[in-house]
Amino acid sequence: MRAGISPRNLERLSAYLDSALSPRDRAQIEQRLGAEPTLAAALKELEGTRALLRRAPQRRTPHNFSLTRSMVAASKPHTSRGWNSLNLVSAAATLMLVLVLVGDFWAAGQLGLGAAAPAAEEPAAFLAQEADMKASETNVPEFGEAAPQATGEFQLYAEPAETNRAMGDDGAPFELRSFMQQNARSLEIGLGAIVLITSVLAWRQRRHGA
Amino acid sequence: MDEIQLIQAAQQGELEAFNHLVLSYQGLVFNVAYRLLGDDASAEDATQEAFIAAYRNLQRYRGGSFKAWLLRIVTNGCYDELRRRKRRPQTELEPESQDGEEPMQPSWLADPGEGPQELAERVELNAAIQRCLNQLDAEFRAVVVLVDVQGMDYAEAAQVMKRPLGTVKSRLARARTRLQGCLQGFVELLPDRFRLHTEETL
Repeated sequence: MRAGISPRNLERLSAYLDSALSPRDRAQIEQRLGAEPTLAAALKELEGTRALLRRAPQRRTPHNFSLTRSMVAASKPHTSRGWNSLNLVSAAATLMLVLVLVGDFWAAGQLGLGAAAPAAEEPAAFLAQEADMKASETNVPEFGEAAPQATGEFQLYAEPAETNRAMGDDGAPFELRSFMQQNARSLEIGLGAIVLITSVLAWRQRRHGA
Repeated sequence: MDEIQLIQAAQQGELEAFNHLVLSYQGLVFNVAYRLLGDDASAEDATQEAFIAAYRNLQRYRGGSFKAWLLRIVTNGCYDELRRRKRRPQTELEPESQDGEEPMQPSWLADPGEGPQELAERVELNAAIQRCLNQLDAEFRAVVVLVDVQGMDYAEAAQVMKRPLGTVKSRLARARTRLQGCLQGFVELLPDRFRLHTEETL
């Protein structure tokens, strides 16, 4: 850089050389060029450099770069499977991450509310009541043979009430709930990493083609 | 068929139409790659890969300057290659010559009707420019190649580089200043006609 000329002035000189200044800036710099020999000399040097670069010989293409069917066989112009699949993976991982986060917050809220526990009895009680009603309905035999079937059906309806005792209030098995509670953080980190990696890969792929 | 029709046909999968576009732009794309990477083999690879990537992603071209879109693809490819080289520096097994420059007067530089002396000078000038370009960072190199070597205007260069106009302006000014110092040393060795300062006299 020529001594005594600020980068800002060099930038202006360079733009002046390419006629890329506004009329006002252009007039200003022309006025200064008349009064400041250092600035005028710097402009001359820049001009010389640009002139040399413009004389850089153009290289002849060594061969024809036309594409053949085999070169592009891997993919068609309007499909980009890699990009689409990366997007899909990224979207799925994002969705799962959101679900895990929502579940995490919800579980935290539930644990904080001790009064929520009795409510867990409700579905079982409701199902048992429903089973009773169903049983009484089906226990009105039209024909004598219907009775054993009805008993079987009653048992079938009674089973969920039994089963529900081994499940959480949301119907999920306790093992799954406790697993989710214990591993929520790891799941979030894992899913977050997948989202990040697929997004970066998709961005890179897009950048090459954009 | 004009360029827009060729692009539309290529987007429908017509390779023939795309190859017409390749023929129109291969010289420019190859020259930009050559100036950015500094050697023939890498420039050939970058050019071929750029055309393949362009064909495969043609559906993402949404109008505007096709030339800028194509040059953006090859420029990004060259940046990646330069980054790879930085990570894994390689040494030439067989240098082109003792001082690392092209050994002879390559045929591509020959102009019909040009004498051996002029040819030799042009080879010198070409080598000097390339050496100085190689000393610049990738983005500074790109802006000089696009504007000064290929003669694009600021707006086109900004489109290719996906940078604001102001960034292109300031990078170009800085790149020119850096090149100035480098080229001066080489140009001293060249005949007078290369040492002229103003374009009017060239």
